[in-house]
Amino acid sequence: MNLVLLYVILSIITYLSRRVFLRLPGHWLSPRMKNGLTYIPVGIFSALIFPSLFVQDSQFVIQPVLLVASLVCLGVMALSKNVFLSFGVSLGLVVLVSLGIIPWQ
Amino acid sequence: MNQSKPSRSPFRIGLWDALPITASYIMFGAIFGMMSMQAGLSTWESISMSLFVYSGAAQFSVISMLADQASMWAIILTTFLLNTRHFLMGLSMSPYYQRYTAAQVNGLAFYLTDEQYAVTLNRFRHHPSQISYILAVSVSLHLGWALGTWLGTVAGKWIPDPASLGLGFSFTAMFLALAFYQLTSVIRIVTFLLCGALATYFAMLLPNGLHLLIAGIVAFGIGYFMPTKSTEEENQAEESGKAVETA
Repeated sequence: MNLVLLYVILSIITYLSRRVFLRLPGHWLSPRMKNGLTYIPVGIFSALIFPSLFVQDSQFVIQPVLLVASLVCLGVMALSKNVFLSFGVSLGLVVLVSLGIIPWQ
Repeated sequence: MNQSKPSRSPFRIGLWDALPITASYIMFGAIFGMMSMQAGLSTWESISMSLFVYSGAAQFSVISMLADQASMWAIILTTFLLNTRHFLMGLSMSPYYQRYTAAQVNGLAFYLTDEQYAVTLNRFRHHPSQISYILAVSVSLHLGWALGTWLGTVAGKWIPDPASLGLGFSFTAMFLALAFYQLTSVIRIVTFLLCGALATYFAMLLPNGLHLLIAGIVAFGIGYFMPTKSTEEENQAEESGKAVETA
């Protein structure tokens, strides 16, 4: 397989998928359209988060450590409104449990 | 994040905001570099893919398919499907890129990854879109990914498995923290849960990436067909404006 050709095609596909809607003509952006657009991040974030918590190898799974860490992340966000702190505390919890430093079960 | 003092330049704030994700990019870039060597790519072939294709999910799929000797068309189709989510990300970013020239948008489009989208979108909630901020986030993530790939190719055997340390949760944690700001009303929370359930279901059935597209379209539909109070007020204001113009 010609890797250079493959890279060129993959680069073009990836780039176009990012560029094609990145700046729509202003007259397309009605208030209703804008309201719809503000909801897209809600859908995208949920689709990035939920499968990473509940799907492994195409199977539904429940991972209690990750669920608790997710709740901790949201709880710290609600209290502190600090993304770094929420990220650090929740990730730290998962790492400490993975290393066996915090016993689980 | 984004609590920074106004005296700091947007570029520096961007670098700071991107820092946790840049660290994760280096780690996962290293895993990609290590796996690409195992798939038979050279150091430069691996780094070139990270520099020019620059799409983590697609790159992991590509090296797996290259190792399985899949056809070029199968790899291209898989990459296209994985990238369909960018259509909606670009669409939702569109209002924030209106102020830039076509040349600037052409350049910035290259950097629109999931994480760059999440970090910059969070910034735009309270600050105007600034090209220096977007560039700082974008370039640090891109360089982090390329640096990680290089590290993986030269020192892969010494890199600990992120899964065994639970570091796979780093992206989820960052997305969760940033999603918090999106959950500003009951309908948004319901949309979040509904789309999450749909995405989980479709992630088990469909090729990678399509569940994001479905969740994004459903969320857009909810926002479009259930206008909020402010949208209705804007519509009314627009209509009354037209009435004045035609009067």
